[in-house]
Amino acid sequence: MNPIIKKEVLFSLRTKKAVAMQAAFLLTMVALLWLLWPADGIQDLGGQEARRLLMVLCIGELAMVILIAPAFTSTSITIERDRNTLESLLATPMSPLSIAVGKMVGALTFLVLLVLSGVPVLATLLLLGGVEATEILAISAVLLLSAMHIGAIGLLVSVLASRSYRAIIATYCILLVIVFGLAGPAWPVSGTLIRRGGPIAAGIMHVLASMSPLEAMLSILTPDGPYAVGAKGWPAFWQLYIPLSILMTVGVVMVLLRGLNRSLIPARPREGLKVVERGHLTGRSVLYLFFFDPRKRKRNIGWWQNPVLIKECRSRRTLQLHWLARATAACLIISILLMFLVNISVQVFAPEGTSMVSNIATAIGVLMVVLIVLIGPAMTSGAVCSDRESGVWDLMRTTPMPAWRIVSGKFQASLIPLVLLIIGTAPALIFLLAFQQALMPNIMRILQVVGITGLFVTVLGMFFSSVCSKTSTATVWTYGVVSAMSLLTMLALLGGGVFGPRFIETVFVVNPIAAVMDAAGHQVMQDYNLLRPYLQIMAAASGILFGLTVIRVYQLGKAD
Amino acid sequence: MSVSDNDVILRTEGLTRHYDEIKALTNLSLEIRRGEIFGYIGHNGAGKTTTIRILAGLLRPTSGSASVAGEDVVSGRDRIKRLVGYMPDNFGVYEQMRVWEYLDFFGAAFGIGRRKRRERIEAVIDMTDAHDMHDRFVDTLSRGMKQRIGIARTLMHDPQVLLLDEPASGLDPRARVHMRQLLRRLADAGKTLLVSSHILPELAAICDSIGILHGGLLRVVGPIAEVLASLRRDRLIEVRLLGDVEKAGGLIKANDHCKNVERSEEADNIINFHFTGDDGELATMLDGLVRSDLRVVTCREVPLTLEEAYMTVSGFEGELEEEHSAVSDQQSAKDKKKAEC
Repeated sequence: MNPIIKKEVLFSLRTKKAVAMQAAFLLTMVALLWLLWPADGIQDLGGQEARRLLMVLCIGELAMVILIAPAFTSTSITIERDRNTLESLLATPMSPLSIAVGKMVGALTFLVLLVLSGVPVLATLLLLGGVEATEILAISAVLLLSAMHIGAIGLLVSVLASRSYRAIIATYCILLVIVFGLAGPAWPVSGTLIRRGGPIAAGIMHVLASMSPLEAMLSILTPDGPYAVGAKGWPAFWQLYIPLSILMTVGVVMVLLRGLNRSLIPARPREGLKVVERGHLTGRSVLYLFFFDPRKRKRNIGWWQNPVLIKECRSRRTLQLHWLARATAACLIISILLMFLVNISVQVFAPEGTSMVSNIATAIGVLMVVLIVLIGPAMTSGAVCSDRESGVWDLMRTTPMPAWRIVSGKFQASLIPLVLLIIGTAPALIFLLAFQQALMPNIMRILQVVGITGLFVTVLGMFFSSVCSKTSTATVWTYGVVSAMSLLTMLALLGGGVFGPRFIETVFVVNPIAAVMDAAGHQVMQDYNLLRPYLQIMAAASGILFGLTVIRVYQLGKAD
Repeated sequence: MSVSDNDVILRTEGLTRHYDEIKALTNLSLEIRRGEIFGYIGHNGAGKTTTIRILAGLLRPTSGSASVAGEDVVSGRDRIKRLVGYMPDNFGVYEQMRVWEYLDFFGAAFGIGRRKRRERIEAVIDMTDAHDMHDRFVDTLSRGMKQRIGIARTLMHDPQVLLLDEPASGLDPRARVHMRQLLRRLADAGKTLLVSSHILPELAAICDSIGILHGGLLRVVGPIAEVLASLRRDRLIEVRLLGDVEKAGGLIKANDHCKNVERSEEADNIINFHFTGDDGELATMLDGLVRSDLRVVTCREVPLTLEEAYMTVSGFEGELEEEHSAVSDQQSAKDKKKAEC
């Protein structure tokens, strides 16, 4: 037996994390089943209740696979690199193929077990009627293939990334594109784009949408629903997904093998001696502007400055001035493009008038929130634990800096990119006032939601960063909580009539996307009062988490 | 913070630290005087790092007390931070940061003013002879360079005591020489150094006093010469002769005070033996050799090495003897082969 499979399977199955995840997964499934199981005594001949239940359980299970799979696979190679064991592994007579297969099988075993353990829960729906056994089989196949497919992507990113937390972030971003981005053309939100193009364009979009496990699942659950509209003459999404996911998994493994060999080549060392002295101008300085030149001689930290903030700005690439300038420029370009699109949309859909402008405001607000939810955890979840991992924390502990100053410096450093992101994208929102001045209160409310979401995500990431000892774990937890708030709560809508409006409102008060839609005055949210509770809950949670982070950092600074 | 009149700057009394069942450090009582270089010796897991971390205020003792310049490491932890400079075995560095920026950050963290900090950076870089590293990125430096920058960092707030955990580990021979010179310079500048190391010859060359730790217990402590003398059970004598070495060997073996008589591994005309008698008896024995027409060139007492002292204290003496006898056997076999040729 491949020794890596043996080691990985043993390691992944006997950890507390694995047991906790398995328990959480099954408990969630059983809780959903218990909550949604029809108990009104009325015979459901059409099987409507069963189908609704099936929908919630399957999407929930898929969401958990999507959330959990990267946590297991995207760190499997980077962790070897972090521990300096990758070279030893590659120095053994084992071929890169057996290492890759070993890693993949080891990481996927847990996921496969997880999916299989959920099958009996799905099978109970057969008792209600209205659900076919073949459907349960097809769903199980899609879930299993999704686990393998997503796992393979995570593994590939793990080979290419240098650090575990970067691998996790990259994998989640790729999954977002695959799961939602590729499925977009088949959804009403895009105006069912898949039906608008010519046969070739529609075919391409159909194949691309078939790569999304979510789209495959929706096409089984609601074959005639609005979210499963495909190009004419093409097989259902899930039927294409099965061969495509196998092909993609094999393709990813092939790329992975090449990457595994290449990962040993050491990175080119950086030149550190080139410094542009203050007052000196070189060709590059003139081109670059001295202010943004990364090689310029910086000033000593001033008494009014927080040393931790300055240290973070100097040691984190994404906080260096030239990178911040680039990021702001990118946001502004996006903003200008959005303004351009807004202008065209308003011109084209002028007859629809006010609701169109309001919809655009909603879309921009949602975009801002999604960007914050995507970027925020990556910026903050390494704030404290990365120092602990690198051993610098012990050096910080020997300095007389108080805990609140350390947390404050890290907090400000984490907030900078999010503030720039908001400043960079806000002009598109403000531009809408040119068309409809009455939108001012809505825009102010949207900015409030965006601001409080940014604050909450930052503090949440910092909290997990102070509690977890590894950046990768903190990243997974932060993304997990933020995704649960933004995506899992959406499951309440899938329950249809099962959940009352009060329940949905209660669940949505922590959903930033729902809150921003409510802030923009979108009609979907008109039955709910989300804005004020959301702002209050997020502000309170941010305050509590900040306090807890300071306490935790104080504890970490004390003698063990 | 002024140091008390007492010359002892670092003191521990009954210092104990247990991790659940593991007794990392037991009843450590130690005194280190100002300006001294104290070598802290022990095998992996002996309790060296535990001691150092307690003294740096990073670890709380289970019982006992420790003080630096009169400040208790537990109750006066915040003041201890300014008195002590701590360099761990594996200390982290920040990516993308130049050496001076790294030092600037720690200087600012210690609340040193901007102007004074600028001067301190130049001073510590000068002290550690790290001028060529001033503008380099810290994470791109070699191990030896990083160790120097690590020491420079500990010096930024001008502490009275430096706690250096394995500063010479992983260094090449040249870097070790530089490190020795640096530590000596720091001691000359009035700093008190507690240096832990596995590389015993390094410590022997620079330390004023040593402590040997084994299984969490301090077995021996004191000035290095006294420790070595106290551990000597018999004297190792080396005699160099011209002429009949076999006959000399026979005569030495016949003396009641001589044990383990053997030819040196380095040269054919040298005999080593352990002598249990006093100086008078040694002189008589040498006189006997001379009277037997043997031409004695030199006779010297071989000092005990720190490694031998450590092995003796730690109870690994047998392993050392085994190694010696294995080397001796190899040498005999070589001699035999040579004779046959």
